[in-house]
Amino acid sequence: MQTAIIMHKRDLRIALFGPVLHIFTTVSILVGIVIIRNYLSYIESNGLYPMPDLFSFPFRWVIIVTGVYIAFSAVVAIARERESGAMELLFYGPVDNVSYVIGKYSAQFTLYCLLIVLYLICFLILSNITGVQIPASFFMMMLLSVFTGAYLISVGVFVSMVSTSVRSATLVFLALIASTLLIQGSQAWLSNIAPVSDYYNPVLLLQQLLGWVQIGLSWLSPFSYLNYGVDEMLRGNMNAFLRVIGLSIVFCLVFIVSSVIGLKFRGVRQ
Amino acid sequence: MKKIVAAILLSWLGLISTGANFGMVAAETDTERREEFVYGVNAYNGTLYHGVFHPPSVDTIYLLADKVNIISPRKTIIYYWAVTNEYKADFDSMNEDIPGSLEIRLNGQLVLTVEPTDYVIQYPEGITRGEAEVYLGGAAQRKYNEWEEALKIYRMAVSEYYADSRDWQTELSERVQSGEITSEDDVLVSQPVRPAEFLYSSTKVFRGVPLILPPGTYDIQLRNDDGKIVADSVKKLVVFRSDRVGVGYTVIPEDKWTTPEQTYSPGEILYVRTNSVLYLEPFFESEYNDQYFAHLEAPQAPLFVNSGWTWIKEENFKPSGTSWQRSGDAPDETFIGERRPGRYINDEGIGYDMQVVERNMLQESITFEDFMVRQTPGKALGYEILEAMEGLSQGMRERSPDFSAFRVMVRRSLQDLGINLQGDDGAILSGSSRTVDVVRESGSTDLFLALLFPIGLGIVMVGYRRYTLKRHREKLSMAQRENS
Repeated sequence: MQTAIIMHKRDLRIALFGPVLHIFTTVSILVGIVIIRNYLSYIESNGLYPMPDLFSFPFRWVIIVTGVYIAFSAVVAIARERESGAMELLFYGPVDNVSYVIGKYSAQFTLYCLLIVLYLICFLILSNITGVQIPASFFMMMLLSVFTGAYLISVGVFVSMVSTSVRSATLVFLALIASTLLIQGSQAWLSNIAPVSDYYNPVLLLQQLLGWVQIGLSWLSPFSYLNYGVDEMLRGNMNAFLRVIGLSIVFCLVFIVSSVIGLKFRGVRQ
Repeated sequence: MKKIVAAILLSWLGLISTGANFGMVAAETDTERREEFVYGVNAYNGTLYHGVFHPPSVDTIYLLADKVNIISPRKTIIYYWAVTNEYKADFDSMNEDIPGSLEIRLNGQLVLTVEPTDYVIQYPEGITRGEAEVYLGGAAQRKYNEWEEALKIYRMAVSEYYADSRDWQTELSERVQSGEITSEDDVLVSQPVRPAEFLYSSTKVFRGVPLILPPGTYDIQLRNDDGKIVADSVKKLVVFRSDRVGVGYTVIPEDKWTTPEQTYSPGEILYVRTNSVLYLEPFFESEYNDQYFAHLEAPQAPLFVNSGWTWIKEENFKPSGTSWQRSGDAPDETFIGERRPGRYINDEGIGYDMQVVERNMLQESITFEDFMVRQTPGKALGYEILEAMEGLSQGMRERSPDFSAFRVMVRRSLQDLGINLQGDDGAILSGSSRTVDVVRESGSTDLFLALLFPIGLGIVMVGYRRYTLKRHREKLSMAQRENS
């Protein structure tokens, strides 16, 4: 455990005092601000906009961008340690599979939680500037994002533990994330394509294939969990909200245990 | 990893090549007309009866629970219509009743056997204006005859009106020519009055199986007179009810009368500009499973992947009194909500006012009023919204009000604002509450001030690291120098 704590502190310090994290958080908040600005422009011109929570959608984007970054940085950091031989060196010391995985994972997760606090402060500032209230549902959404983020990071750690190189780990992880996000968006996009021919709808098969893939994703994707959990919480369905938290914890544990097993089988050498 | 990817790709290709049934696929171009067994369904959608048919390719029928729905076993001609990617029925060429009894099973147990009967669906106050009424058996023909009689009387009245109008025109022309018309009143008094619009609506008398079922997933099949199951009659029947009922509002900003917004979910917040005037028209609404409701109205629609929930607007709240009173001293309209049993709304026949609440303190109580919209005189575009009485007093043409709503003024000073409907009995109508959030006017650059915090934090953290590193290096070099 002591080894895991030392690794945790080391990784956290490297991330917190490096410039990349801060550039990324700034970009994430910038994305959120642009979305909020669009909403406010609409309200200004239209006079009215009914919606569950003005900050909900921007926050979800901010947290998705952040979650992907943190998980990706975990993938790269671990894969690079293996490729450079640093991992092998660590394992000559008191580090074992469990302490290594837990140390790496907990560092990224702590970082993620700290960023959520940072975003909360930023959204409170935005609330003060715009006069928009932050409803209780916003804080519930933040709570949920902690668990879905924990799940996403565990996926990143798992991918890096079983990958052979930085390149393959990066490609696999980015492909997973991109396909997850793209499939969720493309199904809705394809549904809006009207049949252009008098004889058949050329994208129908694709729509249906993507539909089935999306069913699978809805059970696996942390992004789906976040969206579903928030939607159900706004409907007052707290059972579904708690179920999403429970499933996120379960999947998170599954991937952490799989990472330990994966590291054992994959080995620490390049 | 490569093996895993290869296995996934192979299984994916296998799934496609084995012709997994993904419904109607793009290449389907079957335009052949053929006789098929279908279920014609008159499904109640919360407001009116929606007529649809279920071809053999559709394996599930969706119906609302605890409402009369009619299922009609038919033989007809169907053909595939590629343009809309669905089967169409040609009921004009063939519409044959299939005799037999409909068997309904729940968990494999036969729970109900229903014989077809005559039915008629009527809307005494007009389609979309009032409740639908279904008459079964002998009552169906009797009510249909009543409707036919009423229609006949209306047609005769219209015919008389046109005849009277012609006579009046002729008489008027003659009197004008002979100089007998001396004032406008001479013309208006004798003008025939057009009969009120005939809203009473009815279907013909059809034959079908009426069903009122509690929620559940059933299996249905039609057993013919020989005791055999009719081919293609076995289907799944999903009977569902609304998950929630509530009160939605059509919100009309005063300066955007033509582009109203609607708020459905009781938890929604109305974000508004400061110092704006809103008109809120309440309506009943029910929330349904998106998939179920979509397939109730369109059985051949593709299956949704992630079925969510959807609010369906139902009838508007109505002011008491069925007609608009045009005379000058009309009493104030009392707002009467018509509630129905449900999770949130369960009272009956209560009048409501809108309560505007600020920080849990009642600010004002607003009554339901009628409004008229007047085009701004002159060439400039625009309009103004007036209370109906005020409009009439300002010389607007006598007519029904353009809309009826609660008028809410949102002032800049208001904070933590809430609105809800409160009944005469003091109870707040559940599902009618909304939060109104007054958004401050802020320049778009103000928002970006929030970026200063993460940027500042980043500079401090990175700067501290560089500073400590520098100090550390300096110490190291000093130590090296001392050692050397």
